[in-house]
Amino acid sequence: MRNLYWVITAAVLAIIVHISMVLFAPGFLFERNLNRLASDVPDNTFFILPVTAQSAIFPEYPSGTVFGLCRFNLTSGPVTLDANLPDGIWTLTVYSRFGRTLYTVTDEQSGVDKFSLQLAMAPSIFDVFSLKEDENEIEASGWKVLSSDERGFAVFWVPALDKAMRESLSETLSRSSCGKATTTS
Amino acid sequence: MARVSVKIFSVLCGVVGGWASALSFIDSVGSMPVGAAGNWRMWDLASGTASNPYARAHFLIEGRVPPAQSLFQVYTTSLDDEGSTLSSGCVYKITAGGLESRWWSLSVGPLNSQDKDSSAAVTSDEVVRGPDRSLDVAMARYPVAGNWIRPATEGTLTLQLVVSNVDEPQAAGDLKLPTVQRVSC
Repeated sequence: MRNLYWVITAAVLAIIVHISMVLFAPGFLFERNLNRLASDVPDNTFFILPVTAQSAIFPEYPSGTVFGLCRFNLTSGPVTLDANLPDGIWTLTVYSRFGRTLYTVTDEQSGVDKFSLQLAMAPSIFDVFSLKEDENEIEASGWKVLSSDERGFAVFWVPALDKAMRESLSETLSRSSCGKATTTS
Repeated sequence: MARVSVKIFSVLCGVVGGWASALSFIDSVGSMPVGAAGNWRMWDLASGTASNPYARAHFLIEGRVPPAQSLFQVYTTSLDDEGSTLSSGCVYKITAGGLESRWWSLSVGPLNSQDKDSSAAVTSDEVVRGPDRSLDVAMARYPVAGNWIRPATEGTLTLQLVVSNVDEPQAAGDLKLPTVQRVSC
């Protein structure tokens, strides 16, 4: 009977470790890696990922590819992402801080290379019930991504025909910006 | 003394068992075999599936960003068509017949950021096709005429194929994955 107690303890512990290893540890390991690679870039700032950092977090993609990143933090309000993309193929993916995909858009879907995307916290259940109907209509206008996680990152991907094109693509993409949304009255 | 040993043994079994099962599940549940020979594996990141947390953990645990399933499909293999492990000491011929996606990239890992001369990837933008639109890529440490990818490190290799889903999402079974034949060692 006493041994059975310890067998059950071992099984419960194994389940806890398994779940932690799959659901929580990878997110923290990834966040630590991203912090290390972009330690000098503050939140809500757009930057082009250097080639060395790119090969660490996007090893499957060729070095000519350009990645632009914005690590957003919604604790002090919504963040606006102003995209300036080159003509041609590109994608934008918004992730939660633990790598869950929140939103994707491509050049073909958007039809434009310059646009603004607002990132905001998803309303809580209480907010949903207390929201008036007309407030909801105002919120529905424009491109908006609601995140249940206050932190995350947006990734622009722009492939280059060859490595020589990387610089000009980076220059175009670097005109994008990411910052706290300005409120209009 | 015996009781203390049972306690320690149980806790150790729980921790090691949970840790080992998580690592095993990340590989086995997170990916599924695809392709004619079954050597290629696809990381299934579709949301709402049982494989999703394991596939996501596979990328995050290495500090990599998981691709959005709606935009990219990632296939990997570390075996040739005969089931032998891919090695940097051998020359391989990679043949594909149906890679018609808007963008794709075939790369060999692991990468070495110190190796500036490395050309470890070939993409749909730069590849040269045969008259029948077939595709041959050589993988070797020394230059080979035609499409060529060069492993950046010595030892066991992994081939990675990233296929864009942007134009039309392809089911895993629809895509004819490249064959990998060993030419010499």
